[in-house]
Amino acid sequence: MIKLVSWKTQRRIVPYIFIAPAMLLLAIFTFYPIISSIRMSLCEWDIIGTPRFIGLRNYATTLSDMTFRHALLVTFLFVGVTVPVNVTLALLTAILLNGRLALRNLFRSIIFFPAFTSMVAIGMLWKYMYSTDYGIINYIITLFGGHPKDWLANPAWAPWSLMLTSVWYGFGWNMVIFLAGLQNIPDQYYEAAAIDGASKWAAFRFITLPLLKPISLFVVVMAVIYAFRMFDLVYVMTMGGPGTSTMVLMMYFYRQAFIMLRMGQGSAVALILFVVVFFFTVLQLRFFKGEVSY
Amino acid sequence: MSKRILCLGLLSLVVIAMFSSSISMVLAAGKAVEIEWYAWGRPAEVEFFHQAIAEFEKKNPGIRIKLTETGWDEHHRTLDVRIAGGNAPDIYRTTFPYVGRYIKAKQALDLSPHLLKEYRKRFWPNLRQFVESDGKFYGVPQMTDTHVVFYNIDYFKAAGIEAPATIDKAWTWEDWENIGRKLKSKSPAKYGFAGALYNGEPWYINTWGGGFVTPDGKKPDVNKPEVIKGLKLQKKWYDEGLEPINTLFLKPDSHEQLFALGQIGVIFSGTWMAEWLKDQIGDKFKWGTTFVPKGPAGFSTALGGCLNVISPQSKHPKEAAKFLEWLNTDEVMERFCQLGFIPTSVPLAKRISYKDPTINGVMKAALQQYAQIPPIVVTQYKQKNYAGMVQVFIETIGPAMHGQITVEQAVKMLDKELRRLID
Repeated sequence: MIKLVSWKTQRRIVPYIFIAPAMLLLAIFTFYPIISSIRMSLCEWDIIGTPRFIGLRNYATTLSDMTFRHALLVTFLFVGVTVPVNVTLALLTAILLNGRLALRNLFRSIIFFPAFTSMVAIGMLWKYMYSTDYGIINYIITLFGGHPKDWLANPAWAPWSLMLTSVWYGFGWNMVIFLAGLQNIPDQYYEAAAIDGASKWAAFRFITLPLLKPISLFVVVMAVIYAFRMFDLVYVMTMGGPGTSTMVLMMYFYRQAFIMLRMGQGSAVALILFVVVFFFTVLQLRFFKGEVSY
Repeated sequence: MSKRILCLGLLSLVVIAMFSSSISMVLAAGKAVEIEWYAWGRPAEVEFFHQAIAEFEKKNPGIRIKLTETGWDEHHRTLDVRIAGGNAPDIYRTTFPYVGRYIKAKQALDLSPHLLKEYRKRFWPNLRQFVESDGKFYGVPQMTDTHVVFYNIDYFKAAGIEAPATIDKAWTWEDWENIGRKLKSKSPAKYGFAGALYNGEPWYINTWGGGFVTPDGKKPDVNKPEVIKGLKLQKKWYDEGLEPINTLFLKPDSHEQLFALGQIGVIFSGTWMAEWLKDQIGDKFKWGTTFVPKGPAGFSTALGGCLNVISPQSKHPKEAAKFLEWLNTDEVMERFCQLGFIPTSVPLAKRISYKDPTINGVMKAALQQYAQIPPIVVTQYKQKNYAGMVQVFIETIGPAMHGQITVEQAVKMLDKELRRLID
């Protein structure tokens, strides 16, 4: 048998051969679209015409557009409200359902149920529930003598109605992750704390919370990314309206790229969104730095 | 022995290789030409398309039509991607406001060498304006439609209202407001009317003397006292509950749904909704159709419909044109329009009779109205970004109707946004 390459060289090359297929797929389906998107953001293009290089004009137009600034504010509102509510609710529910409770598996399944349902279907369902004239929510309100509300038709109410649906949809998923984290905390810690006379609150504060930090970091990062990428519910339920009251960044991206047919500006918006999400992710990692022990 | 078998085997391979190219050429010559038709449609339309294809293929055994069915929501997006990727279908269905974009991008084939002049002249002049340019003809109009007024006959009787039977007696906006009040007070309707601003199309402001653009299409025509007056009147209707604000621009609720539930007495909607209303209303109440009201500047309404275009990327444009020509003959079109459409051929529109009595009633009003659509409607639709104009109309006028900004402020913002889109 002829030895073509030395063992040392083989050791150096073989790992690359093994990861080559995955890298190739990553290059085709991830890196190439990202590079294309950057290139496209420097052009004026309506998909079917010929792209025209315009430098950074798409970024300048986007940043000076009032609707974009408004969309950025609406998105921050969504992130600022839904993430804390979602994470807190998920944690509390997980703690509740981790204890001894009758029918707890049933409750876990019910709460997790929205997570494996299509978001479009959820949006349609809630849209009907929120309807001013034939929605079940207003029906219940009138049963108790209240006045029907324009849940999605009123610019003041619409963002909050969407946020409620978003939290309802998302917290079941986070609850399951927290539940997994809680079940990984050994009982001995709690037993030792009880012997030392620690209250339930003290046990939660000094045992549960610190040991859940890696899980919390993951949940918070994912919830923030999800909130920034919010699109499906907005598209199905309000299309960014009434007016622009629920125009989140992803909806603004859709508006520019597919309604205004400005693919270049759409790409610029997508890249700005990427920078914003990246910044917030780094910020969160820094915030948790040194406090997370795995 | 084995050497002989080997030689024979090699010889056979050489012979097969020599003849294989000729065999494939012969097979290809006998194979039918395949044309891909990229279209969306309601179930009844798609069923008709399949029937028409079968009929055409029977008459033309050398041509096979492959229908690629799409949904309306993603149709133009996926079509654009296919065109950009060099994989355009042979024939694609589109709408009149969209076709100008494809013509401009040289993605629509000139059909004048394939279609006789007499054939092309049958179409409504306003529809020809979308597809004709410099003596070239870029698409074959398949069907057209418009908006009409649907009303609850039972509620009208209860409120003592009579709907106009001829277009010269069409209501004014003043009549419209009075009808709304009567319906709200004298009939079980929760709201009087709905849908004047419908899905953000500009025909309401056309009736007040404005528009997305001036008649020459060069600048916006919204920031004027007449338009402001019209929009203020509209806001008053929302404030007084004559019209449900939750149906403004079809969001989040549909006024057609509320009409079918008996909560609204009279609505604007497209002729294509007749079939849906028939199914939804059933025997709950009697309903009829009449003309949209006139404003101080006259009458205006929507001009909808579809046409089919052949892509320059098609390898078989001659066969594709043959199919389109046949599909839009008066004979085939008459059968297609029975589904509730206005024929694109003027001679056919003048003589067509709809077998379904409900559709026939709707079309009676629609056809009278269609013949009077003003030129500004075509000018607006022909703008390079009509969909964008509708979007900014919704985004600026919406907050004014909700009282977040004044109508004057909204109109000023709309003027600015429209100017950007025209430029």
